[in-house]
Amino acid sequence: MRLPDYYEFCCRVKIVAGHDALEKIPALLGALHAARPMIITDRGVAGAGLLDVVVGALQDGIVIGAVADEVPSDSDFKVVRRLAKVYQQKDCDAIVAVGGGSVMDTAKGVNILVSEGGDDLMAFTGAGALKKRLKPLVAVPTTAGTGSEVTLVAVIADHEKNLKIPFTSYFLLPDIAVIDSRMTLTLPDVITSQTAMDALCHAVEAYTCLAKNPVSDACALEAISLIAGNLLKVMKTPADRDGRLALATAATLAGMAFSNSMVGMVHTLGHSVGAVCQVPHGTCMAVLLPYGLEYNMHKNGEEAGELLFALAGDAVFARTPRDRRAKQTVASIRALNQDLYEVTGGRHPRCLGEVTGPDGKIRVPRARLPEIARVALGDASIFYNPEALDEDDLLMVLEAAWEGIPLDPARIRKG
Amino acid sequence: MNDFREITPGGRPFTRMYLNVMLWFVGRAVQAAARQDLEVKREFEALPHRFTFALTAAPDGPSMVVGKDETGRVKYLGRRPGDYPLHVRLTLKSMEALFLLFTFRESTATATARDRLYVEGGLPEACAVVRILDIVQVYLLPKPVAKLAIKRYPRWRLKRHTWDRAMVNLRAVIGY
Amino acid sequence: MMTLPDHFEFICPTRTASGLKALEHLPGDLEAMNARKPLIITDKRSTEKGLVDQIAKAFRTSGRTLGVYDGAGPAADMDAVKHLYHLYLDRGFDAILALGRGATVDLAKVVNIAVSGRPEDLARCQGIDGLHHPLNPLAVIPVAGGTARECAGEVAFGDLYYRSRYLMPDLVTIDPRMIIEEDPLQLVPTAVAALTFAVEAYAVPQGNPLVESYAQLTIGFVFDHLLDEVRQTVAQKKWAARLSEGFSLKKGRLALVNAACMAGYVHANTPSGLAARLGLAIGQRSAVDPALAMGIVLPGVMEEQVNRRGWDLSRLLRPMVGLDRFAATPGAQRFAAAMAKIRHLFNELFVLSEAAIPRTLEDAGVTRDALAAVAEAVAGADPESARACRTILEHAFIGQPVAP
Ligand SMILES: [Fe+2]
Repeated sequence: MRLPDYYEFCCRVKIVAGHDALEKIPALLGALHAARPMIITDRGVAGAGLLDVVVGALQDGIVIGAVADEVPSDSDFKVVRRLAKVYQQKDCDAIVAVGGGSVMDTAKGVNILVSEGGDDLMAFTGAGALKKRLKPLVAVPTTAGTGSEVTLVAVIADHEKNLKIPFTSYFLLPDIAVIDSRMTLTLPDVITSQTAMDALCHAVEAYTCLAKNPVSDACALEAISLIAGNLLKVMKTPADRDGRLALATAATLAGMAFSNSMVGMVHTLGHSVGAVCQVPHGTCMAVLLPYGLEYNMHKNGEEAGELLFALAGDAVFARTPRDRRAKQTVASIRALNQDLYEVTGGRHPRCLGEVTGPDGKIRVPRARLPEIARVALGDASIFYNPEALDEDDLLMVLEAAWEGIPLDPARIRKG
Repeated sequence: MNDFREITPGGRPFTRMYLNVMLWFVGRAVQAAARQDLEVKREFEALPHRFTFALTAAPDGPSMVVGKDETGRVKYLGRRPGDYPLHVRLTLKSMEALFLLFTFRESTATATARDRLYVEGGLPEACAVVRILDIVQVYLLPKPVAKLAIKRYPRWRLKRHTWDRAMVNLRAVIGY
Repeated sequence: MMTLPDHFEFICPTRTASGLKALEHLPGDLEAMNARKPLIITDKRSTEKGLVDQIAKAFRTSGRTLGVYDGAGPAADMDAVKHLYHLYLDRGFDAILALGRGATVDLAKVVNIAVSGRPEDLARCQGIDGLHHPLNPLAVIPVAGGTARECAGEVAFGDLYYRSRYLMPDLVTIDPRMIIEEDPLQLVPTAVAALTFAVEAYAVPQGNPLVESYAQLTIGFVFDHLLDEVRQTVAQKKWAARLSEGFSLKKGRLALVNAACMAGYVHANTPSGLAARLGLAIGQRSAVDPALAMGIVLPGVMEEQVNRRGWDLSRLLRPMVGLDRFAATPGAQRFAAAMAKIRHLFNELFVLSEAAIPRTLEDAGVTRDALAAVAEAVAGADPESARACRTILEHAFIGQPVAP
């Protein structure tokens, strides 16, 4: 057990997980003195029939004040303001957010307005702008990836000013995260693999980057072994309830880990590839994860080696000599990507050059890598990466990830 | 009852004085480096018009403000962040945290990792500010100390290590 | 690999900050909870040892005023609660900093119940889950030692008993400056209590991943550091005074305080285990520290449950020995190895403490006659459970493993 010279950890969210966890929501809200929740979700969730499952589970115990199922994938201030009005008109007293990152962020924004009053979100952006508890917020994740059910950040766009505004406060944390296997049971295969790889990245980076701490280490190891033990199983048997619950739980554990320990260069580059070329976040994560580990190995090889235990199990760990474990960790992740590539019939890419859009065209043209590297320099996750990265380093990693070849150790400049 | 008392802890005049001097000098060194060092100059040029940032300790601890004027010239603007509209504000959670930073017991990266430093304002701009401060630290500090303060000590040309270094320090002292 | 239960829950509303200059974060952390005038509740020892001064120093430049009450005693004192209730309200305090352990923290929590609502709440909200609203901000600043329940959600105060998530502190600030030199043997009961809470949290066939995360840390810190701390300090005592504060020593202490605090989080999320209940009952009927009694019966309790219910608890070994040695140990040997580790810990402590720390109930001076009474008190009317308790106690009496 490593104890850093200084660390902080906080995750105030109550975790309720299981195959029938949704049915607990009325009682959980009751304990928070709420009786009339507003459900916030998006069309995709409603279309997949998940909203009906949630409404069905809530109906018996509680009156649903309002249902808003039209959160767009790029939610903004306008949507937040509109939903806050609905909440007030329908006299709601709590929010149940059902969905992925965008729904969670929107719900957090709505919660600021309905708790603090007014319609000026910008007044609550700075550090420490929120000073008191907000209305009860229950988060029901439907993607098993982002971990936003346990994160204290909400990013909401102001489309008029073309800005993405981050809100950060412990008060933005949902009160309860309800993890129910039914919510991810029908997730399409590629989404399952993308989101699981995002969660895996959260756990791996939380464990290997600068702000690691004992609690996030424990959560991260648990998350990694759940993903490693269940992802391929679920890809082959999508209706595996236990496997789905394991992946969803892993995503939440990884969310707890990285929201305290933050993430490093895999996210630095991933955010940038996503922003410049509109590639799904999970896809970037899957492709870039081995490179993050390779690049930092001279700094955190010890930690990276320990991950082999969670990734490959105790037998492989025991028979791999200490000094080869970190490399074996990278190899296991590459092997996992290869397995996912095969099980999805090539729709899970192994390198940036293989990423294609819905039209089948290549999504990340090689010529845009310099631009991606430049944008990556402005991503705050770079602070938490063990080794320094300048524009040349970022480009070097991107080039390798584009082709799908391991990093050349001679080109890694060691600080 | 003699079990109860109220105390109002005082200030830390000497720590404050030390930090004020350090921040004053670093602020002037940023100004000097923006004129002497090509990389810092380019970083500043890429930042928005009249870009201004502050490094400060909460609550109302020692501070420094640096910004570009109307013509794009980089200037140390003093120690009152309240007087300027800021694009980026780097805040150390307490004066002690700033003291750890300026006694080189914690780097900016470590302070961030330990939740002692938080950033307000645009993140890409904040990243640029940290890169600038890293370069300035290399100019100001002897190599063994600078190595504690930054993740990777840069490999610079000889001229940058000697002539530019001397000039940055000289310009910081005379304020030009 | 671990399998998940069909349903599990977990909550830890506490923010933990541990390490270098943690105290200096207090003003900002309180501000974030909208608190500006904290009342420190502590005991005379904290004042005498300069701990209160250290906190006051950490508040320099914050512009805040602190209240300090250092009259907390070892026993539940309702007059102190009343006194503090008026003090808090009359002087406009808006948060409590509980500095200390055991009874001191309990006093602070009871005062917080009263000042957060109405004094009648003290009577009204007793028992399990009797509190229904969050209380005013409460930070715990641990010192070494204690009950390992300081950070849990349980308070026993004279005749009053409360158990609620709302009694878990909002903030735990662990600072090496608060963990000062004292008799190293005082660390042992705390660490053993923490270990018991953590190990017993594993006594389910399918683990709650969050409970087990915190339990692993508790177990790991205790096994990594307890013996070294006791050994080093005992050796140093003989080597005259220490010249400088060894940082590694502090780090071990810091880890043990972390363990106690995480054991509190585990305790708040799990029902009270059999070893904990047996330990308390033994403590009531003999002179042995109930925390030590818990640890002495702990391996037997685990063995008896594994034998009777056929559970696989081999994963317990992992935090005790680390990934390497866990992976090197074949699965079928792991549980027995874990139990041997616990017994080994006590045997070593027995030697280091010159027999002040007992290995068996017999060492502890418990009489054979008392065993039956303890078994009866804990098991109640259920004959199967009474038989189990007797088996455990008889084996713990001589330190014998409960064979399959
Ligand atoms: Fe991510």
